[in-house]
Amino acid sequence: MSKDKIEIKLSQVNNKNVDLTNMSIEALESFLLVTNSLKEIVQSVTSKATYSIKKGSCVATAYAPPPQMQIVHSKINDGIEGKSKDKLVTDNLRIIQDELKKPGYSYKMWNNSTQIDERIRTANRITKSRSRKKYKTKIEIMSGVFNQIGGNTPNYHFDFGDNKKATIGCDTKDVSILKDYLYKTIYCLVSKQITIGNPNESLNRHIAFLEKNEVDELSNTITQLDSVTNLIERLEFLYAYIDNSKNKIRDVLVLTRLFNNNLYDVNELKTVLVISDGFAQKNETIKHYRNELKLTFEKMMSKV
Amino acid sequence: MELFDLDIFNTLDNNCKEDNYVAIATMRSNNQYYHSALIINFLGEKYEYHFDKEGIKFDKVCNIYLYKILNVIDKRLTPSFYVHCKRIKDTSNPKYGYFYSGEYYDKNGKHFSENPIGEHMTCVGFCINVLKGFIGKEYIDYKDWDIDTHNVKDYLENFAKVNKFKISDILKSHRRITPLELFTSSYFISLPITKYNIDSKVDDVSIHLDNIPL
Repeated sequence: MSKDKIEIKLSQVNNKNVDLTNMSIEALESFLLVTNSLKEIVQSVTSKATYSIKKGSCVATAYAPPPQMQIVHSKINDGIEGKSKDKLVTDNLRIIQDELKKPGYSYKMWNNSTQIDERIRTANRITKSRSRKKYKTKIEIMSGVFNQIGGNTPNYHFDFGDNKKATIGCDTKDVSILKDYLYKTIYCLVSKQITIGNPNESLNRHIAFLEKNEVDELSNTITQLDSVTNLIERLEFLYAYIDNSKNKIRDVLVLTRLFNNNLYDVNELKTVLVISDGFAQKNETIKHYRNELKLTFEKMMSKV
Repeated sequence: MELFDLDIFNTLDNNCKEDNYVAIATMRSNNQYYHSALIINFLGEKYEYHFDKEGIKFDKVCNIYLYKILNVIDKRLTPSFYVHCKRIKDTSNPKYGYFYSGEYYDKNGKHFSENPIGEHMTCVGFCINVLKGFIGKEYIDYKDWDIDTHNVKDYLENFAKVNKFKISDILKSHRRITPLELFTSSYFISLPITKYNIDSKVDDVSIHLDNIPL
């Protein structure tokens, strides 16, 4: 039965020829890494592969029936193009990529007779492509009788009656305020993270406690913020929100907590950081939440 | 050193192919660099943002500038920088004078100042304030420049008299950072940028700028 193959060859390290009968420790370590990774990738697809290591240079080859080897080639191709969701393939391909890119190491790699090492060298760092799950955020005002605090990650529970309940994630600072409101009706500003395509799947995050008389006015503002899609308008809205605020400390706090979320645009986080800078210098609570916002912002910025 | 040429663009041509950036710009006349501005390139449009005796201006580019892209402002943040600038224009009212006292504009465009002279600045001081307000820390170590940097006879005395300040209150803010020095600061990324940093590059920058035909 004819076989297809995938092959990797190390011919020189630092201008010195390598040979299976005569290798430096560096050459050996590198070659072992790529051979092992090659094996891992192939084995994950098929158990029908056979392997060979040839002398005269260092060549490692995996052979398998065409249908199976096609899959291997295709998985490797996906990995190179950043489309692969297969962690085993991408982890091992990245190991191969690192070795192929090592200065002074002359590697070549083939899918059958197609040379692929240069494509691997010039590709972006090979990683697993991100999960396709998409989320959107929604700001809501929720009210109800709250009847439970607790959990390993701090949260509280609303009971809306009719067996309708909600769990809101919060932090320990919130819990110490909440204790006084047990079994009472409370009004809260909540940030909801909804999975697109699965509206029942949502995560609630506590932003602020509200007084009953604040609810109507805030409701309007909230709907505005959620409905404006143009980035510049959204940024201008943030400044206007604080300009028009009758309780600037509370509203700056709302913004620093609300936008501590990588689903928002990084410019929105930056704008809130700029807005809250002066306030944070005079208010410890704002300073605390602003620092958390800053961490999220820096994390988002460090992802190229 | 030749590499400087590659980084300096001018607003007459379309050689800069980047999109979304903030740049420090300067106007030249007879090889004198007499004015500083910020250029914001955003959504395919180029804007000039600057302050002179007539006030703050924010328009699509209509003057001839030499400019260099600032690396301390990440390109991804151009939108929020654009809005920050717009805010300052809408809400603040600086006055012209050869002073810089380490002030900046906060979220209301409010001039955050511990010093009444703080609202007085030059075109350079304005740019520094705008940058500092956005970046969140000192852009330039302004204290490295002192009264000797603006040695114009009787300026301080006249200014104090006309504007009803006491000389002793404004003396420590009296300084001049030149447009050329501000332009040179764009080659540094570690903040705050010191006068030592700038002195080490300003002559080379000047030579390269002088050689650019407009």
